[in-house]
Amino acid sequence: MLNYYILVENHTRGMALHELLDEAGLENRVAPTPRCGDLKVSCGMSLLIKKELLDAVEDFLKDKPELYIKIVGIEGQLEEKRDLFI
Amino acid sequence: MSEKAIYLDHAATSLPKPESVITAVTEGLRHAGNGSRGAYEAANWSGERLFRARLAFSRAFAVGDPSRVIFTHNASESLNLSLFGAIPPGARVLAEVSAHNSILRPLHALAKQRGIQVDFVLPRKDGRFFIEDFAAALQPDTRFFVFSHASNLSGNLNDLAAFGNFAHEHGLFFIVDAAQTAGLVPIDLQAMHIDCLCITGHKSLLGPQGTGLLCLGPGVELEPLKYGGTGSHSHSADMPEDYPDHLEAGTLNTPGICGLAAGLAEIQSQGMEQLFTRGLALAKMFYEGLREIPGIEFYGDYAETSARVPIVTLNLPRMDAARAADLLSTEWQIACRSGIHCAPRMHDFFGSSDRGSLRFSFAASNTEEEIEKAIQAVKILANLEE
Repeated sequence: MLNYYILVENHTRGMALHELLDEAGLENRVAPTPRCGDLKVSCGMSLLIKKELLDAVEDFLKDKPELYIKIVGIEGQLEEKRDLFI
Repeated sequence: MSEKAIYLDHAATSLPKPESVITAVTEGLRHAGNGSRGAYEAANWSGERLFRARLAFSRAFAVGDPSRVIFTHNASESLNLSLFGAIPPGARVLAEVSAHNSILRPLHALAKQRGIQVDFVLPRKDGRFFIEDFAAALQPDTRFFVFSHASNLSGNLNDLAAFGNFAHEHGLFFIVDAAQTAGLVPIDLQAMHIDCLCITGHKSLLGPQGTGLLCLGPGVELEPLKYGGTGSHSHSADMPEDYPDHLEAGTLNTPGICGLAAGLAEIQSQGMEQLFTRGLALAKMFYEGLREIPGIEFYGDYAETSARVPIVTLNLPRMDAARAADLLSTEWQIACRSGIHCAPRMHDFFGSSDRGSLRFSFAASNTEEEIEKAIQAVKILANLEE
């Protein structure tokens, strides 16, 4: 299940990171950013990754802090009244 | 434009556009969702193309970071964004008289609104600029330098690398109007020390009208000209600090940008130098065909070794430029531009403000046969009484 969001400053930086991850063979896809908790500090789009790739992605990004804001797990953070299908 | 028309107004806009540009715009109209505002298929289609376009232009102009490529509607918007976004109240600006009204009017407005001072440098013979004249015009408080890569009136091409070095040596914030050169001659933003590179998409970049670019140098910060939605940091009342969103409020012209990117690809495919060389050769053919005609007055530096863009501007001995342009259009279907060309100070310099001039501008898509017809038509007009 894709449930970790890589938050980015804006769409341009998100697309740049999307390409880098693709090139590195790290599966990800563009997705709308949930507007809950501290996720709202970022762009309306983010990159979704699988939990099992989290370590690999973090390792890949450790020397590229300018490309993203942070990675946030979504489990338990959604608001029930807003996210009816989760 | 009819098939018989001879289009010699490429300095105003390129025509015809390449088929690849038309196809790209059409594809954009068919498929583009709102890029950066959603994450479904159609929005991602746009988002990917917008990103690819930024990347292509950041490489083409050596910007380095695609997020420093700002999409605008034309060079005028890019220049307004640079001038209003960078120049604070009371600042002193160095400029030159070949500037287009897209520079002159914002500077005039800034003088009225913010009390800025502008020092205009004059060219020498034939409209050619010399760095030592700019150095002489510098004042202790001069901080900004606005410069045209090429004059849209004289066709003189300036040595941007040399003027960039001059700006760098004197710590000047360097704003460049590349409306007549982007897509025609190489521009390296970083090597030329350019802070704001202002570009239109619909001329030598072969893109659709209503497209433009502002490329920002490393570390350059501008105040936005527009405020609004960006699809990012939407809870904040302020514009996002990060670029390009800081300067790009509102939905982008995605179909137009698709066309603009296709224009760049077309240039890269055909070879910028080859296109430029052919356009120049046709301009030279036109000039050589008319230079011996008595009474024709040319504006610009046409010496053999002079750097030029493919523009030839002239006045006929006994006919008003507007009348000549009208006859060329109605009798020969030749499209050229009469008037002041939005360059009033350069006309003042040439002494042609009271009558304007007749500008012919060329591109690789023109043919030798077209140039020969244009020469014969101008020769006839040169011998007519008004």
